[in-house]
Amino acid sequence: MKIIVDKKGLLKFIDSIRKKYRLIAPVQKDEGLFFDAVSNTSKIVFDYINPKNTAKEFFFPIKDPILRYDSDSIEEVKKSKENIAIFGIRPCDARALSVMDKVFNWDTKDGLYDNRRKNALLIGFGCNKAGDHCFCTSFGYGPHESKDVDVMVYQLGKDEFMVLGVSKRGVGCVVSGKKASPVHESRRKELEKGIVFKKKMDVDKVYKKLDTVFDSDYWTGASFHCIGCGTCTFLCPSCHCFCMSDERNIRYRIWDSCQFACFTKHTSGHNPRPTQRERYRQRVYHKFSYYKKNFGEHLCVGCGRCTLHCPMKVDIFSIANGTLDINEK
Amino acid sequence: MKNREDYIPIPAKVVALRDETLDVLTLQIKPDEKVTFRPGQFFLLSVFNAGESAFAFSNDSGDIECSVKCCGLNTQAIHRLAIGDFVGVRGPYGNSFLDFIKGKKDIYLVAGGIGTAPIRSLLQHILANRNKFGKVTLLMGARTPADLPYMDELMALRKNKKAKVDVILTVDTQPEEGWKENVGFVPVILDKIKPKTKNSLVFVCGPPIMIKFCADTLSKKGFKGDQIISTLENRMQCGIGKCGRCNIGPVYVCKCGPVFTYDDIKKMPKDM
Amino acid sequence: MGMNEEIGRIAGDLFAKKKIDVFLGYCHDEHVGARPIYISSGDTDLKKKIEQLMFDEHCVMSLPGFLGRLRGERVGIVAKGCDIKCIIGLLQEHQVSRENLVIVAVECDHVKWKGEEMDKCKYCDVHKPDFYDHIMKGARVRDNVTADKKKKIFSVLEKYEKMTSAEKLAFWKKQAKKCIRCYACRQACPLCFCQECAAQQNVPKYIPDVANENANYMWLMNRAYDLAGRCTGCMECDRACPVGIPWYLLNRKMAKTIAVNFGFVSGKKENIGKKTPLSDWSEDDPDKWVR
Repeated sequence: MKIIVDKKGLLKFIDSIRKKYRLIAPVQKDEGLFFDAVSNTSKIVFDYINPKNTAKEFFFPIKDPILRYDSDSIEEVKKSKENIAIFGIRPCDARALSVMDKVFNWDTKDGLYDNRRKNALLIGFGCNKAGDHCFCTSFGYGPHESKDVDVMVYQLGKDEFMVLGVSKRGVGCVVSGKKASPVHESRRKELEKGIVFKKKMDVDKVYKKLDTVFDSDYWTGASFHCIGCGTCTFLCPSCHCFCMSDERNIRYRIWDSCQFACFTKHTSGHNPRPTQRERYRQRVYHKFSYYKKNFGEHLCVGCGRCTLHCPMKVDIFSIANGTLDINEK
Repeated sequence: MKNREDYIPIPAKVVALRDETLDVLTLQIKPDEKVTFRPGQFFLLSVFNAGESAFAFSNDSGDIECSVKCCGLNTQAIHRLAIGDFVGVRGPYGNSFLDFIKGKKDIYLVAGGIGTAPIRSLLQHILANRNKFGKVTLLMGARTPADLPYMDELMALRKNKKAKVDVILTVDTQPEEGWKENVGFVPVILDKIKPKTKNSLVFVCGPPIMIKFCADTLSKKGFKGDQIISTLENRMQCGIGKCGRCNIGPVYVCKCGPVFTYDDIKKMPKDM
Repeated sequence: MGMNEEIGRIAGDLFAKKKIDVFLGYCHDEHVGARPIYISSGDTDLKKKIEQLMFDEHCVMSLPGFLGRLRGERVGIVAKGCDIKCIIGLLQEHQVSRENLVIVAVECDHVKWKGEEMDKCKYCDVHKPDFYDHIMKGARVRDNVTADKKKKIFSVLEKYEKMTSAEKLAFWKKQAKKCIRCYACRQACPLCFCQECAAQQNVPKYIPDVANENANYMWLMNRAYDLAGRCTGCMECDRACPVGIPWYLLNRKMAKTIAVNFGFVSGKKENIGKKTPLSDWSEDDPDKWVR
């Protein structure tokens, strides 16, 4: 069902969700806009491009206890039964979850991730403007994409929102209200058409080009200013690399980054990716080449966070695009 | 074996320990549940409170055996284990040497240093199924005689006429005294023993540089890329293609390997 | 000629005379405003890259941190006053050799990050640097903060110093809870150059790698101590931190403590040839806290 609500009605709808789910939504903190648990819906922010953090941390937490151990036994940490609802998830973050589903279910199923995905309700929020670094449309979907969420919300006017159920569970949530008319749908389409993107990449061309430029000198200069921190990885909605760490009788799964120097370092001391040149190249290839080869889709979703928050302004868009100008002798 | 999808190891006990060399320890581990594995595969050994590391099976059936060189946090913890200690096992993962053997072939087993561990697994399988294989030659090398693992077994194997395995040993440089075997790097000795290309396969395991030189030597002798089979190793964490760490190009060593033909290896980007 | 062209002229000249192997500067970028650029003498598009060199208020990123990767190479580097303080720190600690360095200093009024002027610029005493090989004069550059206004340099600590010990501990624990262990602070810092960071060491694991409050707190304090007497207040760590941990506050507090107790301020050219206070000792070291 597609309904039209005003802001008050939308907040009422969100409150009704809060009765069955722990609500996560974008809220303003000292350090910026973040997805966080919300008990008071009036704190939810509606005017934003994207929160600094991503929805992935609710499915793939920064530290995830897997098991408890002692000197002669192990005990699996019981999986959470908690239902969460994430309001305000942009199509890029939602797409990133669908993309990550593929690696987390590659032959073996990752129960830690799948369990949380199963228990979550995603309430998407379509974009009416693009950020300076957004390029979602390059990946074959757009700022109004609703395929990856349960319920989709569009802001049609200052006090007018369209809410529709997308998945079976989502449809079950949107049950009553003023029905939307074709006029509302054309207003939505108009808003989507009016979004101006500063960045657009021919991802197919880049994908093909990457096959031939792995050994190019291009990589030495292009990403020289990458300092090898984990900001891009940790703020990326689809980066999923991890590590295990045993700490005080609990084994945790924790976030890791291919940009860290010792990510691939063997215990013998040999490191297949000894400098930032090789490490940044790995990032570009994983996002724009390898993942597609294995799963049919790119791992990057064009949300732009990595570039927006990179301390050295390393722009993966420019670097990947720049490969098209490499002159292979 | 039950499919452990949530990174939960099978509880296991250390049943035997043997010092192979000064810094290599062979462990025999008995998991609470039976684990069947094939030569070339690997598993993840957990020493709780230290961590988890990937090791090749160094035997072919029964309790799990692996040989561990003392290096970092996890391997140092492994070297402190005692018989009866509680550990965890996850696996088996990866493909097997056996996936590459079709029909009755002459087999050359070439191993360097700690690379001997997975080769031993294949050797045990061959001995258990001797009539399925033709001529079998084992060439093993290490830096010094003290670094050669499994020496007692190999001397016994040499004496065992029924096994019909030609055991050739070498060390990198002439030791002080008492060494009656070969002296020279493994690729050099491999060249000397004149391996025959007809209906044969060569399994090479060891340091990457040794593999490269052996493959060059074999190619010059007319071996095709799919006759030369090796294992690649990379730092691994999950063993199931999710932690994103062990890839060389789009190929994940844990899922598509660790056993690869030289043809496969040549196609890979220089990311190793 | 304008500053941009002057920087380009110097870089071109240094390459032509074969005085440098690498030039580190800034270039304009249509998407990100300005970004660092690496120019190598072997570049086929050397002339084109040199023409892109520029300097404006978007050039907030610090370049001296890259010198560690270029050991052994002769490097020309564009540096603001705050960057020069870091270069002095690196020279003091023998991480860079003076003969391999050509410092192209720029007079800088302020730099911006995410549209706002950086706090450090308000109290900067090196708008017009005094240690360089070449100096690019800037237009409308405010004067260096003078000695009587220097108190302001630590004004960021005013509110903090009024807290009790218990309040301070609670404050830092709260900050530690935010940390995601991305190590942007460490990687962005020109003076964090340890080959193997204490946080990465495995045997023994001094600092757990799990991002829990206690481990993160250890990380914060470890960095504060390792930088005490060395940190120049370039504010890169604070700027780089994606979760807003007040690194500038923490490091300025350590810097003030060192200034008060050891009379040492980092980043001064007179420091070259001397040791940093915590890597040296003397019999007159203050010890009133030893009871």
